[in-house]
Amino acid sequence: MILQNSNITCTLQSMKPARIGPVIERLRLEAGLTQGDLAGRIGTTQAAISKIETGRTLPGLELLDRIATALGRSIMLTLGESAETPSIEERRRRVRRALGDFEFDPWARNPSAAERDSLLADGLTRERFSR
Amino acid sequence: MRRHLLVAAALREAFEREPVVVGGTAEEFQSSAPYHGTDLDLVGVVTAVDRGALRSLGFRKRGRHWYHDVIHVAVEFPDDRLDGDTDRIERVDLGPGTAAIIGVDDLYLDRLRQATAPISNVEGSIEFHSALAVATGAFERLDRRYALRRIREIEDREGRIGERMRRLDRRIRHLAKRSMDADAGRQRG
Repeated sequence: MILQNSNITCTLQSMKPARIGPVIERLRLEAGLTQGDLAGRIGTTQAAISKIETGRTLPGLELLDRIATALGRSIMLTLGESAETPSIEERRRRVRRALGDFEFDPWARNPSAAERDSLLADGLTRERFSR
Repeated sequence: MRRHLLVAAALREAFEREPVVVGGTAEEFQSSAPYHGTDLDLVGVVTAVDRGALRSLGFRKRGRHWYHDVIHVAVEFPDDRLDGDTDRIERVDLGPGTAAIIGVDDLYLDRLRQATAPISNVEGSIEFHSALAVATGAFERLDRRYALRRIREIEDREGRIGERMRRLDRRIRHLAKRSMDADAGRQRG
């Protein structure tokens, strides 16, 4: 199932409070509303809006629809489709094929002293990348 | 990469305003490419309070980086403003916290723009391969209409850079597609 409006597109599985909250906050501010104003328009409390915006609560679809409407947005639900995202292994294989013999060498990017220490701590020595 | 993302999540909690992961860490996340990032690049305004938070978390200033001597992560704040659409920022739940990462479309455009920098051997450059890695790793997710619109805007504003981005985009798109077709053929066979 995919949920989308003009600003949000995500599968319900990836629909997390931390993702939705900041979007709602931004849309509310763009609409020039306080949390109390929005709460008043949709018949809930300012505390409930605060919890949603700070990612402590995931609003249900019905509440999300009321919020979107109050903010002048629309939500479209599409059933029976999923976001076709290849697995990480598949993406790695594909990228490897596209890159061919090329290898990203962090030492070729002129690392600073701090970056050099970070690379060495990870065992990514200069010798490892030298041909 | 995960260590970098966890640091980004911690700073998201500690900072007054949400910092957004860009650069190599975002590239590794969005493309699954073996980029071997050297630092964690974050975009966002860093206030005095934020600097205090960095120090209290164990970071110290080293040149342009904030460095942590225990976890060996170098953090840089290259810009205070995201070049792209903030609506496309992705928030990734890591368990202990959430990291905000530049959207894949804006990351691709950033890599494409950087790929215009080399004067010679463009297709042998790190920048070109970075853009190619993002285009290939995130092929299905890239919003072509958005990318082409942004490139057109850059062309209008900056002329030759936009024009070079458009040419490179076409070339990179071709190579990414070819890699995917080869992969699909291999799977069918």
